[in-house]
Order: sequence, then C-alpha cells, then structure tokens
Amino acid sequence: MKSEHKALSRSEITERIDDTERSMRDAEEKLEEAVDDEDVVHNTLENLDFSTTEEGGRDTRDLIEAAGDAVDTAIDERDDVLDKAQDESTEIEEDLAERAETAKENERTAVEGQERLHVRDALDQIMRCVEAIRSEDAFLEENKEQTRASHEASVDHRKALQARHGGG
Amino acid sequence: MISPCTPIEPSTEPYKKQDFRSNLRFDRSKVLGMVVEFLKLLSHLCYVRKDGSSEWEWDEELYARVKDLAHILSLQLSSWEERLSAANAELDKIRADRQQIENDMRDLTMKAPREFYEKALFELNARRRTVELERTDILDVLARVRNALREGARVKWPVGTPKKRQPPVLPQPETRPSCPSVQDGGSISSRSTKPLGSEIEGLLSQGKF
Repeated sequence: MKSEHKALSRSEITERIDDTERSMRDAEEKLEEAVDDEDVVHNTLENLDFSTTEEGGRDTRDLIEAAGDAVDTAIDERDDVLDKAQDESTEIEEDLAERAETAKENERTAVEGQERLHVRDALDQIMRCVEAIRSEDAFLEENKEQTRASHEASVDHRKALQARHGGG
Repeated sequence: MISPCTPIEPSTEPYKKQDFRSNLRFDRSKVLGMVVEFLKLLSHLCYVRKDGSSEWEWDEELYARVKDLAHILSLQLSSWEERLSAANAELDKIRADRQQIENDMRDLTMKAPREFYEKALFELNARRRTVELERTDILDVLARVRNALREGARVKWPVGTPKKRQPPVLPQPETRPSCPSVQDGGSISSRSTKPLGSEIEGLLSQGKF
C-alpha cells in the first residue's frame, strides 16, 4: 500500500474538520459583527445633524468617521481571518479527496490481488481488507462532502457580508 | 461705557442664525455699554412741564437722545432674542445628537468604534456646556436690555416728539440748574460724577444721535 499522507485516525480527521468548521463559523460571526457595526456607524452619520458651523459639529463628525475607519480596519482583519479559515477548509477538503482517491486505488489493488489468491485464509484476509478500505473510503467521502458543504456555506455567507460591506 | 474713544457701533447686519456666537463677547460688551449709557442718560433727565418747558434748554435734546437710544436697544433686543432662539436650537440639536449616539453606541459590538463614540459623547457634553454658558450670557443681556427699556418707557416727552438740535458744542453740566429728576427726584450732581456734556459729546461722536 502506498500512501503520500500522514496516517490519521478517523477521530483525528473528524476533529480537524470540526476545528476548521468552528474557526470558519467564529470568523464569520466576527466578520458579521463588524459589518453590523458598520451599519450602526452609517446610521449614526446619517442621523446626526452636522449643520452647525461650530467646530464641535465637525469634531463629532470626525470622531464618528474615525469609528467608521476603525470598523473598516476590523472588517479587513476579520475578513483575512475568515479567508485563512476557508483556505484551511479547502486544504482539508483536498486532503480528504486525495485520501479517498488513495483508498479507491488501494481497493482496486486489493481486488486485483484477491483475484490471484486461492488460499482460503488469504482470501478472507484480503476480503476483510477490501471491506475496511471501502468503509474508509465512505468515511472520507462523507467527511469530504461535509467539509465542502460547510466551506460553500461559509463562502456564500462571506460574499453576502462583503456585499453588505461594499454596498454600505 | 460710552466714551469718544470707544465708539458704539450697533450691528445693522441681518442676524445669521447659525452664527449666534459670532462676536458674542464683543457684541455683549457693546450692548451692555449701551445699556449703562442709556440708564445714565435716564438718570440725567429732569422733570419737564406739560407744555415741554423746563429749567434747562437742552432737556428736549436729552429726551430725543433717550428715544433714539431706546430704539437702538429695541433693535438689539430683537437681535439677541434671535441669538437666544439659535442657542436653544443648538442645545436641542446637541441633545438629539447625544441621544442618537448613545442609542447607536449600545448597538455596537466592537470596542474600537465604541471608544470613538464615547469621545464623541464627551465632546458633545463639552459643547453643550459651552452653549449653555453662552445662552446664560444671552439671557443676561436680554434681561438687562428689557429692564433698561422698561425704565425708558416710564419717561416721555410731554409734547409730541422731542426734537434734536445737534448743537456743535454742548453746554457743560455745571451750566445746568439743579432739577427734580423724572425718576426719583434726585439732582444731577448727586447721580453723576462725569460731566454730562462730555458724555453727550461722546454719544454724538458716534453719530448715533
């Protein structure tokens, strides 16, 4: 059996997927908070009366605009964090796809070997091996699909937040 | 106080509501100086008989000047009432802005923008205090001008409108005989240490009478 990946247990793979999903969700929440704050600042700027000629009016506007700048900076930073979390998710998805491909390759090899075997015990062993590989493949495909779905949902959410940010 | 060296120049420019604090201190000092001079002028007025005759030939001139200065003060009153209205409007605006910022600040989740909002509230509070002090000054001016005009309304030239003669040289106060005041019956010499002639000359030099 050839393997290009470090061997991971199922629990390790599940944990890694869960961690990445949690990171994406946290990053999305943080980004959404920042975009919500941006809406608040826009609302403030729209509703304050800056018609005064006094310096005070300009100072107030400057401070609220500075709050808006701080929010913009936070949005950029939080978007970067989400971007990294999504990259991590993509890497996991690709890793799972490669592992699944390897599992399929191993299954083909095992099935080919099975055809050449005549000893009962050896046949039983290779059949158990093929079953294990199929189970592994199913596990990997299932988790790959879950990771892909999470990633897509996160990407959609991020696009919506970026549209709000850009539209604001 | 009015003197030949500090001319009174009441503004005749239309009042701009946004600029209620423009020249506030300077204008306040000018108008309060006018009030002081107006009250002093009132204190110099003597009793005049119903036919307009009095003990001093320049009494009609003094009454005419009181009337003119009362007119100028009444114009100032309107101007300062507009200032008060503008100051009140600004205070209302500050209160509304403060309420808006407080409400929106509660919706903010991040610390960084909240800090700027807190600074904005601090700045608004400072501005509110400043406007309140300016408003107090405006109310003070209004009270003094109204009081002076009330005092002025008590004296009236008995025969029509008092006429101004615009004398090139005013008589010195010592040439004036003592007379009962129209206000409280006191004498000129007991109420003023400044030569009346120089005061009136000072007023004349402003071109206001």
